[in-house]
Amino acid sequence: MADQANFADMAMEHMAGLYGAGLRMTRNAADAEDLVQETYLKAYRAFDGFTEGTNLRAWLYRILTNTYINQYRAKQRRPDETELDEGEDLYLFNKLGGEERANRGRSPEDEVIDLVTEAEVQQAVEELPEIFRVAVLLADVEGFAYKEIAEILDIPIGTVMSRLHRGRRALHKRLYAYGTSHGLVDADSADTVASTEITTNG
Amino acid sequence: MAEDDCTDQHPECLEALRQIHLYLDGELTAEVRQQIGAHLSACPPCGSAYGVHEAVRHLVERSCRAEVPPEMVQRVRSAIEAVAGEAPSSI
Repeated sequence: MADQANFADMAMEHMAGLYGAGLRMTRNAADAEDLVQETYLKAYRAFDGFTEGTNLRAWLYRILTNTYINQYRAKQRRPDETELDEGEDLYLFNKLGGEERANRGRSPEDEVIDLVTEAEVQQAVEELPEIFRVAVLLADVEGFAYKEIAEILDIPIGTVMSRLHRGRRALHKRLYAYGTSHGLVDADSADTVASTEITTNG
Repeated sequence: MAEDDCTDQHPECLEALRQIHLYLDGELTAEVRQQIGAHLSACPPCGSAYGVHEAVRHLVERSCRAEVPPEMVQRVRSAIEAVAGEAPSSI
């Protein structure tokens, strides 16, 4: 059992992560601030029931996620979550030139970084249907293990895997679409991201 | 994909592809992780396909982090103190 007097000292360090996740969930700063504040107030009120020494960070994310689902989701219109424009695991790899490109000595990291801006990545994440977006945020941004995500979302580990993997495939597809939209990638031939750079970089 | 395209043809490549997310997430047993890791190192196309997944994950992680607005920490602390004042923890 935890003492409420220690709550702020223990919990405040997680605010940046909670706010970042809240921002991608609500998709606007004002709602994210309210969501995070509400999360802290709920956590404070419930802190007597938290067992010290267990996973405080996961417990806070569970409250954040539940608060979002119960209070904020209702006022945001969303597309049908069963509809996900999903690619395959090798979608982006193949679109970026696949094996041929790999043999040319340019790293996947370089290719991906050239493909999209950080703002486009944020937008692509925010466009994922909610259940997939939350799974991707918890795994890829917050670094939670599948078991922790299962506990945070109160779903089986198999469902975590399915949502995360499908969400990532959809994200890869969307990132490529952004890349083609501003001409860094030739959509028809997948022939190439900044070939001059390859030349000049030797 | 071309016939000689490693990632689409060989059983080891198919297995590496099947496990690509779990490998990325550190969710495999030590033994399977070692097997998949050895294949990714030995097979350039699979290594590169994995590299794309890893690069996107890093990009998402970096892009989705956010700075907390400067006044927010104090606002939340004040809100907690207000609640603490109203409702003693001995309920």
